[in-house]
Amino acid sequence: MSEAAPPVLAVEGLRTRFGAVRAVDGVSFAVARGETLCIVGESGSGKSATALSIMGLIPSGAGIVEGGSILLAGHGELRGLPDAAMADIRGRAMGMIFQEPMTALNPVFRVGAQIAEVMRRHEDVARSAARDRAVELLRLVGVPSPQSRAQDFPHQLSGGMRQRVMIAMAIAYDPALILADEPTTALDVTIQAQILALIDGLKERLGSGIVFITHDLRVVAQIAQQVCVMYAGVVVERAATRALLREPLHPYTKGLMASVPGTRPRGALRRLPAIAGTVPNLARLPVGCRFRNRCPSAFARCAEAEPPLAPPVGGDPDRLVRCWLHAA
Amino acid sequence: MLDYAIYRIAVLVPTLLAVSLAVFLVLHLVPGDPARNAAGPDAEEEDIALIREHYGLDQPLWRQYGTYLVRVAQGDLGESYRSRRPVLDELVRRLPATIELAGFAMLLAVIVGVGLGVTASMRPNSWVDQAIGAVSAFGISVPVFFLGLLLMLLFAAKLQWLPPSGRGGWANLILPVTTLGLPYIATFARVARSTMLEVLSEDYIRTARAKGLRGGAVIWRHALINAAIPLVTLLGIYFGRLLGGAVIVETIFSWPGLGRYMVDGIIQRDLQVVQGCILFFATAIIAVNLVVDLLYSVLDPRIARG
Repeated sequence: MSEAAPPVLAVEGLRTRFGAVRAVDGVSFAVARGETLCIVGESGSGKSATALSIMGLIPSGAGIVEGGSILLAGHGELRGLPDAAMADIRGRAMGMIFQEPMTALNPVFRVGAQIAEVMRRHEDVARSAARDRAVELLRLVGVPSPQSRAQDFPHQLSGGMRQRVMIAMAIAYDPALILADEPTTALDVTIQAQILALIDGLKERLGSGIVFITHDLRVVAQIAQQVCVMYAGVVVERAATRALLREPLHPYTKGLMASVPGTRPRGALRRLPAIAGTVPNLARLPVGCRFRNRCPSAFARCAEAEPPLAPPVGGDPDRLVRCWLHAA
Repeated sequence: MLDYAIYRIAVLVPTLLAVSLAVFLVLHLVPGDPARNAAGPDAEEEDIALIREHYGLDQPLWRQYGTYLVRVAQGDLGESYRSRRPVLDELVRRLPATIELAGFAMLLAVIVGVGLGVTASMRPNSWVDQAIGAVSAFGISVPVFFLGLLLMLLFAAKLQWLPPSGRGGWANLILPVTTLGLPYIATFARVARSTMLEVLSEDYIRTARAKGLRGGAVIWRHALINAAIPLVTLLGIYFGRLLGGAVIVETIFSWPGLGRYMVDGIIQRDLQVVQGCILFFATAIIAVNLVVDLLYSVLDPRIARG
């Protein structure tokens, strides 16, 4: 992040709990205008819970955002805002794109109407004007013959087209912040590349800050300027993309990178290494480092206390890592 | 869509034939001589034979059925042995009373039932939800005849707020409609609650909220339309039961509708009346279910143009 651009989103010490499960346990990061930050991690690492907490979409009966701060440029602190005030911000100052375009669109409404609904909600526009803008948005996100596609129901569109519809909905108001929760995971590889290019292009055109959640490091390499690696509800490593991919510091990040096909030198066929074990039960976390049970480099100190998220000793001061191997 | 409708209407013909055959056989195979019944206890054998001949009851069963079918196709449901009046005329004369009763009961069940169900689903397991659940359990488990008598006793006999029986103004409607509708309010409330809970956990509901839609728009627009399909199915299924309930309610409240006409016909062993009523009810139920099936494709675009 450059010094000149003030962050569009600054998250500080965010904590979200579902019953006894601390899904997000003190997460901090910031995103500038025109910047993409990727949050990487396995299922259950708290990536989606982080995004939903920012949007204020944690279901009220199930979970609660209990601590930290979410600052959105132009709107100030979001945490603790009543839902009515959040609803005014959602879809306008920030938009979200979800993972499953198959289920994320309402099956009984035409897609044009679903996009137009955003405008009808946030300003006093005539039905026909909103519909025209929906068609315009469809054109902007690269849907061919948008006029007639707007009349389609979701099930009449392909997965890639549906995801473009989702994106059109999210960017209706050129939002300062776009949250994308694994938007390409459910798509074919070729479509994935198109959607990634589209989102990347929108960032340039709209100047939005993007928080992009993925478990795919190849996606990170393509679109992100910054990366947060999450594990069991905490950030274990945060760095500029290039620095992180060139030299991962945390053993978990190293494990993630080793398990990506094609990132290792060519040679004889070999079994892809996987990180042994699974994410710990977030309701009963082990004492000390959360990763130590699966860590190949764990030593005595890891069981004593949780390491702080801090710049590595003797390393790049602009990056952060949560590991005793790199702590003072 | 149109092809489908035509197909469904064409399929009605064999269905109705089967229904008419079943009704005809059941009523003609039950013990008892309709001619003897019609003639009365003191009739001479000669008179009975005359009646038998007049109504064709001396013919073989298959020929009776054939004649019956031809007449039904011409809109003739026979005439009552007692009153000597055409059954169809009597049905048509009493139909408005039953439509009024069943229609308002259904309306009450849908509006109040769905309203309660949706309200309960918004705060699952809260005291509101539990109170609605308790009322539903009562509504489902209490028998119609008991509820009817109870309401009549309380509001007509004790408090004297409402007339106990008969058809007339709005006041006359309240007790029978409530009696008939309450079990369905309960059923609709339960099904609406569970389908809404299911729909509210769908991804597209989260999308709707992510667009900034407020709670009301999310629930009444995005969720309820998707929850409507199971509810409409229920409407079709329960319409038949509602007509059955109407038979009881009309009898309790002396409501001059089809149900009471049929019950009177049964008590008097008036074969043509019973036969006509059952055929009419069956046709009505089939027709409503046809409408329900066609409604699906209107509600859910994924079913249409399949």
